[in-house]
Amino acid sequence: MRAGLPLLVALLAGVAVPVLEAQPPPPPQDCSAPFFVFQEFPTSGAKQTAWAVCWQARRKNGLIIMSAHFRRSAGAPWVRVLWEGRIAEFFVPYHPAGSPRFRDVAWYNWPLVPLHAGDCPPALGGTLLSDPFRVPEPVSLPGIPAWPAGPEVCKIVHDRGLAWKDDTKIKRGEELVLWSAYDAANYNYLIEWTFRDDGAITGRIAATGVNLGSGFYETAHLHSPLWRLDIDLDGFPRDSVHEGIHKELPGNVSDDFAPVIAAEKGLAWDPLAFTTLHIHDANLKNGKGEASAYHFMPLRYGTSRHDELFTKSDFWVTRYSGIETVGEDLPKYVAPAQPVADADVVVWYTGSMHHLVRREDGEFVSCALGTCWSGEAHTMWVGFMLKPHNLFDRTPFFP
Amino acid sequence: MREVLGGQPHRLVAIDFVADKGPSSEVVRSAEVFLYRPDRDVGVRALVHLQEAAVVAVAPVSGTQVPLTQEDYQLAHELALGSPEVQSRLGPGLREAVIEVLRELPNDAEDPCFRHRCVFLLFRLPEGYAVVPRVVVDLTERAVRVQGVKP
Repeated sequence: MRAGLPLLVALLAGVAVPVLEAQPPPPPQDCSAPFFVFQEFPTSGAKQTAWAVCWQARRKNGLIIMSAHFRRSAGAPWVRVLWEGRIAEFFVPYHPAGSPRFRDVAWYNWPLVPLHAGDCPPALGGTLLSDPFRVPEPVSLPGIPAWPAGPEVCKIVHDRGLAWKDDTKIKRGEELVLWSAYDAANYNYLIEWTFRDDGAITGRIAATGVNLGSGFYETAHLHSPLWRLDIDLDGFPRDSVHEGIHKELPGNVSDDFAPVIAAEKGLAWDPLAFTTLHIHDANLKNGKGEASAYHFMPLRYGTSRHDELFTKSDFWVTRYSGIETVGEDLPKYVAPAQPVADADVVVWYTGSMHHLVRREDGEFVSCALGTCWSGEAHTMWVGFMLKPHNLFDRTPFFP
Repeated sequence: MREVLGGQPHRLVAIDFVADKGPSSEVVRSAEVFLYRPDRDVGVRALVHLQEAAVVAVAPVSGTQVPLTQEDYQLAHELALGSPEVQSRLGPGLREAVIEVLRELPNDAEDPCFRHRCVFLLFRLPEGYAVVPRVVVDLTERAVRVQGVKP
């Protein structure tokens, strides 16, 4: 009120008053620093889009995104995209005899690997983040996987290549990346969440480390991460998931359609159908009044199917329940199937890395126990993209 | 919780702090508590709303889905290091190794570990993972089995 009085006096006196620019709304803050990450784009010049993200690092699920809000332009309201995103399982079945068949989330409470400057070079846009409340666990406890002191997360803000190109006109994009390293004994999983300047989110997992010993040095296997994504577009509930299907018909006629998923179920990814999931909110629209959505798009190489029932589908859509977080229990969660149209929905997705072990992955060397297996399997990635659809009023970052 | 645990001794597997949802889109500060009853090889997970001090959801968990506990790791370590067969077949270099523990859940009903809480061990040295006989620790039977290995 005090600030408004001089302005009112000036207006009544006919004094010219400079036009006040709309102030960007403050970011929604579901957590405090250092768990809260606020990033505006572009990083130099007038700010347009922005992300407000909360993270949590913990045993078992690794790096969890606790909330993610996006701002599509400087003065636009914030839109919630994620309530939470986490890894619900890493399923690792070995060939050819079918054993072992690890569940790295359900069977263990693996810690993260503390990161250092080499993981996250400041010169490349990196900043190490630490949970100040975590009590480091000493290495001395026999047999227990230790979680020593040290930063849990690397935050990187950097150029992501060309956002678009039109002959000589170009626009380079930028992104915010949060990643951690998950310490599953001989293997490390890199858990990466990327928040792009154009509103897209990617989730990726890399498998790396030392191939499993004890007779499995050269045994092919799969690493199948299963994500649980609680997507709450513009809050909850009132969300619906549609199955995006492309169909080629005889005579070179084709069609694209997206029926709503009415009840909880698992769905298979069909490469011929370019299967996607379209997540809509009943109220969220762009400035033209068009319904906004996020499209869930797999980034994958193949499909992993096994006797285990939770591997029979690549996508699952469930109704939110705070206790339903176990990947292996998905078949139980959808029986009996509850309605998920215009509801609070959770999307689950399994990707797979097929690791045909390479000779370069390791070699036998001398050590105190006679012979040791030495070497590293380089990173192999799999993931997904959540891409905004009709969220903007015009091409983002178009002059 | 009482139905599963039956007032019998149990282990705390984990407590995780989570954000459940309130009726107005607000965060409800919550905890997921995971307990394990070893004598029946069953566990239970409970979602607790902290402000109300109320258990709002419970999920029974089969033994295969109960992660290795601190007690499991310590027992596996003690049994393996105390095994004369492990000591003789691996030799004095064993003292220099860091032992890593992985679960063993065979599907074969003939396997001694079938439906037991079993683990196998990896021995890590600065140069890499030791190529040694496979050491399986049966936590249910408190037994150690040393098996051949293909290099």
